[in-house]
Amino acid sequence: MTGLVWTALALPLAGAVLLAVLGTRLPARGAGWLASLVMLAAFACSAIATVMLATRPHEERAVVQTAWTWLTAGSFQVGLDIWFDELTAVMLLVVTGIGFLIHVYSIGYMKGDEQERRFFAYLNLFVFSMLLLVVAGDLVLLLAGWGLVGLSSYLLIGFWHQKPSAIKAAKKAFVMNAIGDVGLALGIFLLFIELGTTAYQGVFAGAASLDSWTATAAALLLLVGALAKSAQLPLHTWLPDAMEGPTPVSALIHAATMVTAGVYLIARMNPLFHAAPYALETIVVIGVLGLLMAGAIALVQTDIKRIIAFSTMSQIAYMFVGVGLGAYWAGIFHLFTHAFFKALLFMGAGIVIHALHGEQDVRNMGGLRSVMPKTYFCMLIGALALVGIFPLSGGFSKDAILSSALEVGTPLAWVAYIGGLVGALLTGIYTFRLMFLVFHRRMSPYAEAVAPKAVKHHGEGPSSMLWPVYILTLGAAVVGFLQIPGLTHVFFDWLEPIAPAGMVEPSAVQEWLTTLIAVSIGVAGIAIAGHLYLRENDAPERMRLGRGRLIDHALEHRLYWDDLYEVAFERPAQWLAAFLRRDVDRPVAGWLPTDGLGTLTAFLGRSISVIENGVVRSYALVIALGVAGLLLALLVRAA
Amino acid sequence: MGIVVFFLAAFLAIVSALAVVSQRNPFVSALGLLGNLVSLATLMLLLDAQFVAAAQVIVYAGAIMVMFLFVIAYVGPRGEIGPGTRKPWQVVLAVVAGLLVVTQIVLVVWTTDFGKPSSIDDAFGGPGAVGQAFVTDYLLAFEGVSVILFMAAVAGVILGAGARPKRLTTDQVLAKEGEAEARRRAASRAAIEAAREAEPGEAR
Amino acid sequence: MSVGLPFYLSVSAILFAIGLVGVLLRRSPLTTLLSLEVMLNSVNLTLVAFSRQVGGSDGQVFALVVMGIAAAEVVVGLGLVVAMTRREMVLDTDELRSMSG
Repeated sequence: MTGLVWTALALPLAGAVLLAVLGTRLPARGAGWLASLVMLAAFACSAIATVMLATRPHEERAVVQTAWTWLTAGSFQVGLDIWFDELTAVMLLVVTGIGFLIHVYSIGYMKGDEQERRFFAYLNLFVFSMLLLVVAGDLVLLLAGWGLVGLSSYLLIGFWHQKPSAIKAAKKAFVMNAIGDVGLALGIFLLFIELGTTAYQGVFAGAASLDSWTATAAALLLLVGALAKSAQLPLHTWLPDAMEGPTPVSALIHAATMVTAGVYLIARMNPLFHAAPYALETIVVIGVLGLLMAGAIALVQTDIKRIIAFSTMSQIAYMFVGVGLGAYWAGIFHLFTHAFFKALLFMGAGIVIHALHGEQDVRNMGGLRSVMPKTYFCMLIGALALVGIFPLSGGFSKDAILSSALEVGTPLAWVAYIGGLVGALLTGIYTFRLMFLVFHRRMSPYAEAVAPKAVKHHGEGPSSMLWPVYILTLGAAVVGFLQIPGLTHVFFDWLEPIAPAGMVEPSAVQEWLTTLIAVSIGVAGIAIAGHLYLRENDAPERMRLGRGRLIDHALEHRLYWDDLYEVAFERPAQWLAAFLRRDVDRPVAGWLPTDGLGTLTAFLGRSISVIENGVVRSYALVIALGVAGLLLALLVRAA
Repeated sequence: MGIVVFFLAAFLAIVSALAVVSQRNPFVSALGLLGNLVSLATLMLLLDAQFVAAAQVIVYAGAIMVMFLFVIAYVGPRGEIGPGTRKPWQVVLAVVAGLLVVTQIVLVVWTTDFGKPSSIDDAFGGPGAVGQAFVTDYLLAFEGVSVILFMAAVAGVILGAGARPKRLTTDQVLAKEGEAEARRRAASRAAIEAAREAEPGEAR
Repeated sequence: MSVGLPFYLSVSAILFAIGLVGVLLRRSPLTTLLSLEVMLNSVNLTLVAFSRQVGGSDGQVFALVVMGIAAAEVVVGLGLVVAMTRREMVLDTDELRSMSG
């Protein structure tokens, strides 16, 4: 069984290496198929491993296996451990399954791009990193996966590196994630100092013995990592910009998998978070604020992908609320269903963008329903699932989170409950604003000029793009049935063992009640969206939320977070640099025959580069003198 | 008896090593290395390392030296190069480095008490004992060496058997060597003139 | 007087230094390679001597590994010499300086 997990982990890496090594010897088409085949094989391995795990008795399900110990320093050891249990299995299935579909989709989407091979190599590298992250059995290994995921995300956001905006977005994502990595690393250091180990087993066993301050500090530091990776307040600003990457990347990384890593981390580390109730409350607060804020911002965005990106942020905030309330299963359940419908929405948006030759502004769309009926239907299912309309998947998982808040019943949980319901209203509005602007209304002149012709020539898209969307549509419609309140308990039962301290489970009555309220609110949201955006005579300028200019301005500028960071960090840094150059560098280094430290360094470098003369013998001489010098130093020390 | 053999072998080893580095003709150098190898094998025999001594003779003398001699014969007189621009400071620094290494090691070696050599059984140094260690504890190293040897073989073939470049005429070869020679002369002339300019008192 | 470990180590050090000076001063790649062999051999002697002192086979195994690596190094080195000859290049290591910084 672990062999299969290892295989699933190794396959994407092998795929990435193979694609990189073969390079142009591989036909461009072949690269996509190779990468997709690798993913299919990895998915098969994960599925079989999951089935094998399911046949085991409950208490034998968490499997740890050490391939070898790769870091040893005194009593500190890090093994190449994998940890395979129910939670890992869910993540494995999501990453490889959705990943496979998105790989296939990319074959059609990236067709004709000059750099297809590079794209698929990066994509496989990403899947490897993500799998490493989820199967790691040791925090250090998790950190390695965490960092690699950030790297591959950086590479993929900046994939079209001829676009300055893409480079900027990639850099931003990387820096934001680096902040999170630092937090995560510090948290791991703290745990190591306190517990003497970074292996999951040791950490879980020792978490209860930590005093509450240490546990809270460690949990909050880990949370910083989770916030950055999952694009939650206040480290969220990179996610909307990350939409500069190709759309399959947005679907895979910035909707289905990588951004959910934070939720995974919290659910995985639940014994630690259980010992740190303040950290859990922080998560809930951040989650509620995030889901409201992102939902509100999504109302006024005009870029189709950014609308979905803010929606992603909002939905992940729901997951944070879920895990923060102690309903880890509900958070992961929402992660699971969200992977389906959000990937679906992104891929549908990708088909639309494709048909419109790269246009992403919703004001230049409209009326595409008649031109692209298949895409419309699939995206409609996705949108309804996102809003949480019964009986599609998103509703079950979101209501599970909200009703867990009812079950917890603390004042904070009530805040989360109300906030979540308001969020559901916002979800209904922004989702159907998107649907109405893109598919209903009258066609914009641009869409009218482009879309019918494109569809007439190529259909709605190549079958490699349409079939994954169909499969995801089916998934988005039915995966919620895994957990029908009062009827099926598959998801809860499956994940129950991962939390030794128990998980919050709402009663069926609470769930049905919440579903009733949430669905009504969602429908109300759709109605509001219809009222605002379906009337044909509205000029595009009126596609606003309300009448208050201030609110609109604030939302359009994403509540000024970017500006805040610019004022708080960028400007001071630039000012400091200018100050150092003007008032420190020049006066201090000015008396030198050079201009400032930079030139001094260059001058020194040039002087020293004289010994770099290319003559092997003189290099050898330096080595020999170095050896003699080292020996001398050792002798002197010994004497 | 052991003492006599030791000193004889050590003396021969040092003399032959000096021959390796000092002879201009690479053929003589190679023969010096051969003598060095045999003397070292003798020393290893004194140290009860029969297998390594045998391998030393067979692998080095039998294979590596043959390869050397082949290449030296192939290269021919071009393997010799005349005295060039070896600068005095280079010689001084090289000798200093060498002397430093020797004196330091000798100093350490003679001031350290290593204790008595451990007792050994008959199997020590035989192919059995060495082979046992090789395929158990050092299996990874063993495989690593075989991989490296394989890569070296491939590299050797590629380096040696690539398409022959366009052959230059003898004149061109001579011109090339002449260029190198001229560069060297120019460099030393520049050095001499720089030195003269540094001492303005000296009359032209 | 019995010949102990220090004797062997001293011989090894002297050989090593001779080889080192050869590498540092000779310009012909062939002689440089031969000098390198002297250095490697001197190290082999050290390994074998310590192996005898300690009474384990480990040092001898290392000596054999060194021989293997030396063989590989010679193959590549001589391959380069042959390639240089075939390209009618001057066999002088000081002339090979296109990698200078």
